[in-house]
Amino acid sequence: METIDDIHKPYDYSALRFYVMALTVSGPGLTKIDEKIPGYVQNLKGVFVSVGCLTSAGKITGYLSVNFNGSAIKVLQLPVIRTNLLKDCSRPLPLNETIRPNSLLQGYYYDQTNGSAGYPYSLKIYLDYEPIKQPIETPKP
Amino acid sequence: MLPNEKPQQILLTISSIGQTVTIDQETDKLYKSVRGINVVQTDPNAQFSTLQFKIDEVEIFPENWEIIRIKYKEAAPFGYDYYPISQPAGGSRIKGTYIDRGNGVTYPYNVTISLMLVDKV
Repeated sequence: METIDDIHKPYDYSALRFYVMALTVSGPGLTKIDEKIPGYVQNLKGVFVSVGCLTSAGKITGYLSVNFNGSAIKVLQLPVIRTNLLKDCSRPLPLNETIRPNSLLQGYYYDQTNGSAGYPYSLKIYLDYEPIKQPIETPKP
Repeated sequence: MLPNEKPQQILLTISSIGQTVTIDQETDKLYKSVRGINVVQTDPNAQFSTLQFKIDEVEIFPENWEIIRIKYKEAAPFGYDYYPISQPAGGSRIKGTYIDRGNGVTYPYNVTISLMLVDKV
C-alpha cells in the first residue's frame, strides 16, 4: 500500500520534464488563453498553476478554465490559489491526457483579486509531460 | 580525508530590476554525482524570478521555471534539505540563466544555488 510518505516523496527533477507557459494578467476580468503546446509535449502527466502576486486580498486569485485538445466537453477548471501560500504542496495536479499534434491550450483565467494583487502579474502554467521515447534500434543479425 | 557529501554553491548578485545573470560553471571534479539542489534568496519577495538550469546539456529546469518551486522554506537552516536530482558530476558543465522578474524589494540581493555533490572519487 502506498503510504503518505510515498505520496509526498520529493520529486527527482532529473526524471521529470516540464514545459512552462508564461502568461501575463494585465487587468481585472477575463484573460484569454490561446497558446500552442510544443510538439514534444505528447502525454501530459500533471498541471500546476502559479500566480506571481504576493499581496492579494484573498487566498484565491482567480479561476482557470482550459482545454487541451480543442474539446469543449473535457475542460480543466480549477481555482488558482496564491502560490506563495502553497510552498510545500506545490505538486502538480495529476492528469493523464494525450495531446494531439499542433494542439492548443485554450481557455481563460478569471481574475478575482479586484486589483489587490497589483497589475500586471504573471500566470505560469507548468505542464508535466512524458518525453517522447526514442525507438530502440535492434541490431541486425 | 574528504567527506562523502559536499555542497557546491553558486552565488549570484542581482543588482537591478530585470537583470539577467548567466551561469557557466562546472561541478567539482572530486565528486561523481549531483544528488540535490536548493536555492536561497536574501530577498524573499524575489521568489517569482526564473531560473533555467542545465547540467551537461540535460535540462533540469526549463525556461520560465520560478524559484518558488525549488526554494527552501524560510527560517530553515541552510543545507537542511535538497530537492532531488540525479546527474553525473566530475566536471560536468553547469549552464543556466537567472532572470529577475522585478518582485524584489531591496537591490542588490544575493541568490545562492546549492548543489549537493556525493560519491567522492
